[in-house]
Amino acid sequence: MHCGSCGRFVGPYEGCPYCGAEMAGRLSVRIVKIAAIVLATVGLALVWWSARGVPIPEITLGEAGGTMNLAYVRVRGRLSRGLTYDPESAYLGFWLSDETGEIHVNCYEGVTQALMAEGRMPAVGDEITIAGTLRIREDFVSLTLDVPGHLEIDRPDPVPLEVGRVTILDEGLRVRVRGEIWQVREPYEGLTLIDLRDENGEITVAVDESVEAMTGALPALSAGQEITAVGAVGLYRTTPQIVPADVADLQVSPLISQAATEVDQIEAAGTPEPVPLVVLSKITEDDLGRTVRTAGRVTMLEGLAGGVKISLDDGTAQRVLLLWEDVYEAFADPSALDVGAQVAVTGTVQVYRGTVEVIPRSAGEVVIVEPASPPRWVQIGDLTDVDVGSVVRARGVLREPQGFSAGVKVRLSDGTGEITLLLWSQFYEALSPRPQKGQQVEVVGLVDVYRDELELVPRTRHDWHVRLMED
Amino acid sequence: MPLNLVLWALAGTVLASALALIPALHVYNVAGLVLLLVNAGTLYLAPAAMAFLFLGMVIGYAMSNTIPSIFLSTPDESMVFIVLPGQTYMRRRRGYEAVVLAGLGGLGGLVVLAALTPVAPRWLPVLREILQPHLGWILWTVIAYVLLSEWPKGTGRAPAGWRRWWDGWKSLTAGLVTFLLSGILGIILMYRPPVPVGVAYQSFLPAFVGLFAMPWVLVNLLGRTALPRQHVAGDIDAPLSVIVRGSITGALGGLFAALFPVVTGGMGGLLAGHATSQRDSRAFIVSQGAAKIVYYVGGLLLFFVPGLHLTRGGMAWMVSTRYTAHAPADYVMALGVSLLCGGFAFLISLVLARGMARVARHVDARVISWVTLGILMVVVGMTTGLPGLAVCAVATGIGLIPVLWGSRRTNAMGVLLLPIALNMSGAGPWLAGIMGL
Repeated sequence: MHCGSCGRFVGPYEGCPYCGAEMAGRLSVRIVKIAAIVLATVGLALVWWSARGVPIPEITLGEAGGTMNLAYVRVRGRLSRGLTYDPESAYLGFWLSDETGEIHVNCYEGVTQALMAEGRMPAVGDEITIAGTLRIREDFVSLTLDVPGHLEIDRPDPVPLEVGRVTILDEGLRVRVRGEIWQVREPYEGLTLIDLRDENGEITVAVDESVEAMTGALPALSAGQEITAVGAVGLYRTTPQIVPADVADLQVSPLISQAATEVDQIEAAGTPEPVPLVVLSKITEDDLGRTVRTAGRVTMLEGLAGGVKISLDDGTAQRVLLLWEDVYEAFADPSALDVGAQVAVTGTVQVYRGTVEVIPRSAGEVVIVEPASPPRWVQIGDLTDVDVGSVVRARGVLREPQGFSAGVKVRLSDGTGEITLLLWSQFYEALSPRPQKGQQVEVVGLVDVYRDELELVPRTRHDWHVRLMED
Repeated sequence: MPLNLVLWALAGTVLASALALIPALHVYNVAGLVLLLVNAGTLYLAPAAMAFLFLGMVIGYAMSNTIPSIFLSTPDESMVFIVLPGQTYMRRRRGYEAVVLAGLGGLGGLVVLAALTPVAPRWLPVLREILQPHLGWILWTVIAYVLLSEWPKGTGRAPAGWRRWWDGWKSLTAGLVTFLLSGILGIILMYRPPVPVGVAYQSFLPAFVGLFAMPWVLVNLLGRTALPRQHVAGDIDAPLSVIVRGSITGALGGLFAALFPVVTGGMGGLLAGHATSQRDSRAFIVSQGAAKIVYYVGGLLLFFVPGLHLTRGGMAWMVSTRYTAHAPADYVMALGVSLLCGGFAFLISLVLARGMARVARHVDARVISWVTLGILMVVVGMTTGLPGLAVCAVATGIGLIPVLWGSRRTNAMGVLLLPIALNMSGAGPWLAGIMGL
């Protein structure tokens, strides 16, 4: 629009800024101005009002796709791993997972500080409902919590479990265990590992510096103390461990345990004169009925009715170490006595069908000098003929068990493949609950081959762990 | 250098150069539609091919969108500053020359980007580490500068007292109101976007169309501006020193915009221009062209620097959902492609500007505006549906305020500046909570 008086461009002005002439015929501009103000104010108020009333869309983690980049969404899942907290920057991050996928959650300074002030810091194992801004990258999906109130934490009640019953299948489950502190380690600055034991086994409680930064310093801990630990089951590589949400979840008894006291008493009383150590090649049928003390490395372990049979090898010869069930079950951790373990044993020499055996009378006569390493985890689909003869660990879901003359066969599937589990009768009878279709199990066994098909043969009931279902 | 990726980039350059002539149609809208088709499985594009197609598109667009900005007065948020000097050139029948000046600036910007190549992969991550903790307050100072550097405008003829004060301050008030309202809209869009969740990556599209494109279209519809016959000159009235100075100034502003979140090329160019006391309108147009290229292309190129993890600009955000650069060779290739496509896009822009200079005066500006209005509404409607159109209408109202009251349109960048600055200061969640979002 140009000024009718001076001819210069005046744009939307109602009076010419150059000569001051009133611009006629500007009614439409006035209307546009009014419309703009109405749209900008009333319209904005309506957008605000409607935005407040619209529920935040909820999606599963697997649904988060490229076109949802920067979407404000609500997701639900379990805090599965990777809880990190940096006190300096007040950054909090963790991984959330559901059945469909996994997402990384970021909380920055203001939000983290608000959560801390409200005492609502999440922990591994928590059920989380969270709303925030999605960030989709080619290989990484994250969600940023923008409003502290958009984080809801549901911390399940812990399931009481014996230390030795915690398995990899319990990953994410919140449990309560009670045991004796065996040792306290700090493999590197910022991580404290507390090894617990009870009569069934041992497990590690891992306390990260993030937990201490968020909830306070750990109490003084020493070996022999009784401790009750509540936390979620996490995994270090393939080994289950317990991750507490709060240092207050570790209740430590000030008393030294009975076991530690007994050890002290034995040490105070002195030890009896030991039987002389002999190499395995020196133990022959001529020693029938004699008590011998020997040592060697376990090269094989197999179950039999009423006990286990172990092959010991010290480089000079191999001999059978026979452990009756009462002796074997008396070990604090029977799984420590497996292939690869170094043991020293005192026992009576017996001969059975021409084979020399050493038979200890109690678990106290077997000293595990070096416990066996846990069997390696395998995926069933990865097993080949090369693995025959090795002891491995697998997990999966059972198919329908099929009986045969000497026991039960059942197929185990882990998504990568299937393998037959061969359960001999004496083994099968000892299992409780009995194997059934759909059961999730973790199983250790010897890889064998029968008619060109691989089989996995568990040897003792300690090779068999059934997942405890939360419900 | 894989030939197919070069061809994808060149195809993107040609496509975006042509589409840039459609007034107010932003390259991000077109790329967003392509991404939508790719994600839906309707269109197959390998991630690397898509990344280089988008790189070519952003170069073609950055070079050629000067043409509608100057001839049709429909700039995007990075071109708002070029409109007034561009209009002056156009009214003096020298619109083609203004396009060439901006294009030369763009080429200068690309040269600066190439010159930075030996140091960029090493220095930028360090620079980012240093700047990261300070981004919040730096952004607030940018906001303060943008708001405070606007001065009162008035006729000086109003009676003394409040009316004279209002005569001078109404444009400043309009600017502050624009910044505040667009900022509130940005907070709503950031915390509770009303668009469907499946197209959330375009949640700011309706706002940008409303704030920057629609107002110009409406003003063009209301006005009765006739395009004077244009002269296509064989040379340009600018010595090499002006072009070099403008390019360096613009590149500085563009780099600032590319490195800092939310700051656009135009805004960066303005800051750099003020910082270097730039007065020559030719150098200003050159600098805006350089700033625009460095902002658009440099921002996307930063995404190709391995290990930097810097996502600046809408195109980089879209590319990041399907592609990640893994090796320094990716960056070098992207830069080489940028130079090739930049030169190609400059030549295309000359041809298109000649065509526009000949055609535009024969076409009724109102017809162009009506067609543009239709295209914008179709793009917004198709992408974000009715909620998006509603947001676009509100944003149009806000975007009209600076146009009708003579304030800087860059105040509408409050839609991003305010929520991001608040978030960086830690006050965003608090305010969102108060607003019930």
